Amino acid sequence: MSEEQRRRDRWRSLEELAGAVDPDAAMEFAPGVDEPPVVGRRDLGKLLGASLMLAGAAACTRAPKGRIVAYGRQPEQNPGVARTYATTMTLGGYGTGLLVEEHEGRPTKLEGNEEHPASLGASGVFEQASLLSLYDPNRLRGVQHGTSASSFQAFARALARPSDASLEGIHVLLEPTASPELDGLLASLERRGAVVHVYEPLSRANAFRGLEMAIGRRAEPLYELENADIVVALDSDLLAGGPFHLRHARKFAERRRVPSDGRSDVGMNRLYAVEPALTVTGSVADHRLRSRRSDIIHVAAAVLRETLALLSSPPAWALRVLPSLASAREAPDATRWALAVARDLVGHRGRALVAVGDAQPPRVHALGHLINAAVGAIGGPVRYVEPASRRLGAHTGDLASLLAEVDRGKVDTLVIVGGNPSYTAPADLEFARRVGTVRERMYVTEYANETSRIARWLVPAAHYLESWGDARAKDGTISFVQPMIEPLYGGKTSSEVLSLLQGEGATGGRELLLRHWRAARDGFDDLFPEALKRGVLGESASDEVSFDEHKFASSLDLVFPSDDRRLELAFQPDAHARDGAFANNAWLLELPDPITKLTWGNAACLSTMTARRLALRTEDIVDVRVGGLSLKAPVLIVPGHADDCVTLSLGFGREGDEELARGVGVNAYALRTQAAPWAAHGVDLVPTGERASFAITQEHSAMEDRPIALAATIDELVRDPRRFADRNRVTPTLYQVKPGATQQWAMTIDLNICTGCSACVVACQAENNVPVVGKEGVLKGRAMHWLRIDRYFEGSADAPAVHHQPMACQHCEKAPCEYVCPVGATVHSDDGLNEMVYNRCVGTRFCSNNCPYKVRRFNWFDYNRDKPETLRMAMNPDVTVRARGVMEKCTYCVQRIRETEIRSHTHGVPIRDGDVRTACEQACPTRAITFGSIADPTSRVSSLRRDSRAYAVLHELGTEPRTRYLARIRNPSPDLLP
Amino acid sequence: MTALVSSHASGEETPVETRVLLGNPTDGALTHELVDRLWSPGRAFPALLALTGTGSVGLFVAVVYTMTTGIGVWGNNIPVGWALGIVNFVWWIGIGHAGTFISAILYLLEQKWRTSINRFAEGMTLFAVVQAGLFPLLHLGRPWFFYWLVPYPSTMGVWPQFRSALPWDVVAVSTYLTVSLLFFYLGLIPDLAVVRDTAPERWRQRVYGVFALGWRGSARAWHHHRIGYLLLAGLATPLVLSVHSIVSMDFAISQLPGWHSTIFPPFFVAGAIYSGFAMVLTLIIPSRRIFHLERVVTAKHFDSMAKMLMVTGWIVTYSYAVEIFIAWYSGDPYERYVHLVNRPTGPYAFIFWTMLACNCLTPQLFWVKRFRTNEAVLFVAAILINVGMWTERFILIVTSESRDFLPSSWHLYRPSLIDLSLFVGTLSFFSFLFLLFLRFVPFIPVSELKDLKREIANENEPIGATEAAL
Repeated sequence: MSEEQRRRDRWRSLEELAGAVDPDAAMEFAPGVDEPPVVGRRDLGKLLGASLMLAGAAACTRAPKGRIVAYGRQPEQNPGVARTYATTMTLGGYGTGLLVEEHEGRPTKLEGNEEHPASLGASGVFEQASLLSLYDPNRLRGVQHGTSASSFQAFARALARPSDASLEGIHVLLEPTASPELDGLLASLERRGAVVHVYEPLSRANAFRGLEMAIGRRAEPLYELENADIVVALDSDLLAGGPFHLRHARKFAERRRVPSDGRSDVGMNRLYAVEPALTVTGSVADHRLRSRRSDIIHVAAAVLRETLALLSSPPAWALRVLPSLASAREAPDATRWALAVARDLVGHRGRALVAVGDAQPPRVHALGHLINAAVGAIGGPVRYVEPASRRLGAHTGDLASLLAEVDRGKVDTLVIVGGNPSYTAPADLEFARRVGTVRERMYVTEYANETSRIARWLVPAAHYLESWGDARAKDGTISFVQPMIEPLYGGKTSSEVLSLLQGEGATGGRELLLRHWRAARDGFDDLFPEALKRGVLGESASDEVSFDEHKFASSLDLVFPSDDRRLELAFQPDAHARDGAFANNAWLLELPDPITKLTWGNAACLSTMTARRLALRTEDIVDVRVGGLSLKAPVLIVPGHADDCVTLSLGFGREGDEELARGVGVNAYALRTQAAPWAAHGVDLVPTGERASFAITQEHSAMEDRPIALAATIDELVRDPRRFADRNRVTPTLYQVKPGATQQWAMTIDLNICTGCSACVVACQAENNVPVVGKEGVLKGRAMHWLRIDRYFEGSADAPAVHHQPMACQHCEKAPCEYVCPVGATVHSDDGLNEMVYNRCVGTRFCSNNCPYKVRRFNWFDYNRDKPETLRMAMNPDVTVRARGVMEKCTYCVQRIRETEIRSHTHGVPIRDGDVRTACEQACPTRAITFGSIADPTSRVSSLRRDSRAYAVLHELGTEPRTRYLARIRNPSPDLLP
Repeated sequence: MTALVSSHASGEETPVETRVLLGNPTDGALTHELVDRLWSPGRAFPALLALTGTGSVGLFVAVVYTMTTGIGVWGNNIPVGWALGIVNFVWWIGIGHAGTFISAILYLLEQKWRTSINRFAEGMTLFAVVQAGLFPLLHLGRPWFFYWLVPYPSTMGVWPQFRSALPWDVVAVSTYLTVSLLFFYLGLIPDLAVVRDTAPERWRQRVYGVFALGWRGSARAWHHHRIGYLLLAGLATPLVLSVHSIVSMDFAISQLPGWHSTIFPPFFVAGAIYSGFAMVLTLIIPSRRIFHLERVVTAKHFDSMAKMLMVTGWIVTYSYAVEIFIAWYSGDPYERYVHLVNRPTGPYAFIFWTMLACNCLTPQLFWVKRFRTNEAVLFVAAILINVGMWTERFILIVTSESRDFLPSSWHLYRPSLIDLSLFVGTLSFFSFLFLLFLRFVPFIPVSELKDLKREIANENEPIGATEAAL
């Protein structure tokens, strides 16, 4: 029966019968009758449009009114392409110019600004990690009055004063600042009767006072290490701490490079260091003398005495100091040392300098400057300039005078701007108890911390990446702070808060800045865009100061402290927390200390001999007792530490609302007094019988005679320039790797100029979304750093040589990790990268087992799962966030390589040497890391690989690593050779 | 000391120690002796089952916790990427070697003493391989992608990376499990039929009947069965050697000092058989007592197994010596450090010396004939060897990893609670499965024993008499 017939058999309508209707298509019910009524197309369109508009209206705050200007190139409206802006970070009152990489309105990475004298393109650990502080979920959110939430308007009503009212009774306590704008504002407040106090726990007061003693006036010393053949650091970590340390490190390194043929006549510099505990500077010194902090004055005096004795025509002022120098104590080893140093200093007249650390008393600074004067350093490698601000280098006395005023009932309103004085003030000042009597206590702070407990008003402080402002560097160079993001938690800048006292209501930071500068400089509006763009205001460095050489040392009253052989307690700024300001920064907490490799906390550091004398072991908890104060602290025995001395770093043992900081380490401020801010005597270490556990990333510090971090003296290199050559040969092979792409990426790391400062480690963490695993994770050996700095000690435990060796994936041409992966998740690219395919990784960890450098890191848990929303904003969108159960490791910043390749492809411009810079390379203050293509024989990395010092770590394994090291060359003094 | 000489010994012409079957029971009596215990479990059985069952639940919990939380709940770290998980894997898979060695290789070599214990060993093998297989799965960072190690035609055209030993490991272990299971089952079929035929209850007959696959014991069926069994024995024999060889390559292909060694394949195989025989002894000595198997498990069996322990124990000892000698002789500082410094004097030295004591000294007991047939001595020795072989894997894996080339990355390994739970859990689960095996499966091969009895009778009687009897 055909289809046609069947259709005709059963029909429902005439049309159907006639074949006009297709029976299969015809439906019994009208379409849609069984469905719920729907909104019409037009109505739906209307609703969609309206909700979109409203969503847009609700989602955004209004864009800030002020224009900010991009660094270098015009902003492109290209999603996914990062923009860069210049800004300034202030630390200890001094500005460091930075460039901010910003993705779709959120800062994701900080780099140094090459045009800024404090940065020269480099950045340090605090600069790198400050990004994470911006997004810290523990930051104070919104204004609080008492225990209840309030508003900035309410706060403004409480603080605001009419513009003509006297500000008598209003005291402002803030951290040191060299901001011209804030300086101006404070000056105007002072004119109306307000009193401004400055307090800083890591004060440079000693440096200023010491220089004043020497030359008779206040000045800022600048050290130009590029002009110094001999550098003597007296308890000074000038390469990794304090203002201008990035510049010091760069300039130091420039004089540290050894030419390929190892000629010795290039004037490689020589560094001497005297210090109680090993610092970065001490660890790279050619000669290091360990000495208690209070004994360094004797070393300084001995150097000065020997120097003056060696001079054929001593300066006129020498007669003034020589008699008192004779009363300095003699220590046999120090005297021999001082003689050698003096000989070297005199032998390099005009090309040698002495730098003294802030923890040394003013007299040592004065001695240092006298030595500088004696060896003709002043006007040579040492210059004295006008201080960037009179509010730098505040003395603790300023805080004490505030409290005296409080006790006299003279303080009606206390505005604390920044800092954390309840925590950082000397313990004997009892700051928290005494300011409680002030009627109105206001505190502008980033965190609800120890000080916020005593404040009635809490105002969130703006992070510098949220602020408008300005700053001055150590040499006075002015740079501007421009905001990268709207304040996340409604933070306010110091100027914004203090300007309320001017009686003009709440004023925006940009307006305040412009108002100050328009008044201060003519035609500022023309200068401003350019200054914002470049990050510095041209020709703003301070003038050199003039002083009368005849008055030299006339106000110096050289008295040596009586010999106190009791145990000394020395305080140090912490490598992670600094003075406590960074105690809640996960990157810094997990950053291994450059010397001890300790993470998540601090320790009472002792020398081997002192520990033996006191019968203490590492991880013993002792009660540190000094002058009626006591603190329980765990003991850590550190090689190279001075005997009869305990070192404690500041900044830990927090009790505020900062989740990460709370309970980490011990609070050394509890032992710090006005009289002994840097070193106290008569310390007792009483064992408690308790034990602590240290999360130390490197448990073994000896090289076991293996050729890992190679070193030689300059003489040895000259004698045998090919001494490293057999570790740089191409190993014979049956398995030829075929040449691939036009670029062949490689890296060299110069161990000679690596100081171990660890800026690269944090930079890598920030760039590559490297997770933090916490103390437990570090204890279990699961720290995730893609780039670690191995630190080896060599020689005796008392005076070890220290070797720093940055260690990341070596990108072996014959990578042992690749052939053992069962799923091919780690493979080699044409351009020589050892690539990790996260998606393909199943996590057998065979690759890590077979990696001789142990640089692979495994995601033991889902480290990114419970990340707060703000911390997600800190993630670099160009880098995959790794999931649980996969392996990860250094990629040579492949995202940067590919970005450069794409740009080169789009613009049709070939990639030049230096176009691709890895995050570690970019941050490195000394430029120890060089990245480039070895396919180009003229590239820097190619020539460095041909250097006589170049070698491959574990060369004998035949892995052909793309990362090569340049051996460290020391330049010891012939006088001090054993 | 317990004498193994049976009281009801007959046949004065044969010395007791060489007999593999005591007495001359009838076929029916033998059947009842070996099968009847299936119908009446001992009083201790439920308690033991509950104990091991609880341990198995603990294993399950630890597995789920590991899978849901991440491998971080173990004590592993960088540099010790593999630790207890792989130690347990290698240990269990080693134990799983004796079964197939006894059933296949000794079968091909026509060793009579294999008959009584082969099923026992095969069961042990299967359950040990099950435990072993758990660990490589679990130790993956992302265990749900385990199948990426299997060469299957992926739509993305991605294959495993065959230069690595791990995909081969997957193939080797799964092949071994499959062949062992088939071999075990094929040998079991006639006995299942026996159980079916003698089962007292209808439902038991049915259940066993299903598993007996309709075995009728016809000549034709036996003909095929024997050919099949022989072929599988031939197939299983190379597997005994291949599995642990490939497992050893998981280490040997790496360049880690302490792993990078060419003697690993034979060393591993010997060690595996060593530990496997130790485990067979550990299990059979109490079973013999409990189930009164003195007739079928005799002094001859113990003697032979003790000799096997001596042979393999000496191979293992020799391998240790060669490793240490070559490390010294090579002059390679990293190898020397591992073998001459780290293992004997490092943080795990105690485990190293335990290993040497257990693995090298224990088998020397068996130079003495009395010890070879003494249950107590054998049992203690077997336990010591089990412990020794576990510590060997620990020393091999963990010491090598924890201190390799760069001292900066050295880090010790401490097992976590989960690590230990997993190990104890697999011991429980293994015992649980083995108890069920003892309870429900004829673990002494009934048919083969009858065969053996006849074979022995043939050897002892004139040929004509046998023919007449048939």
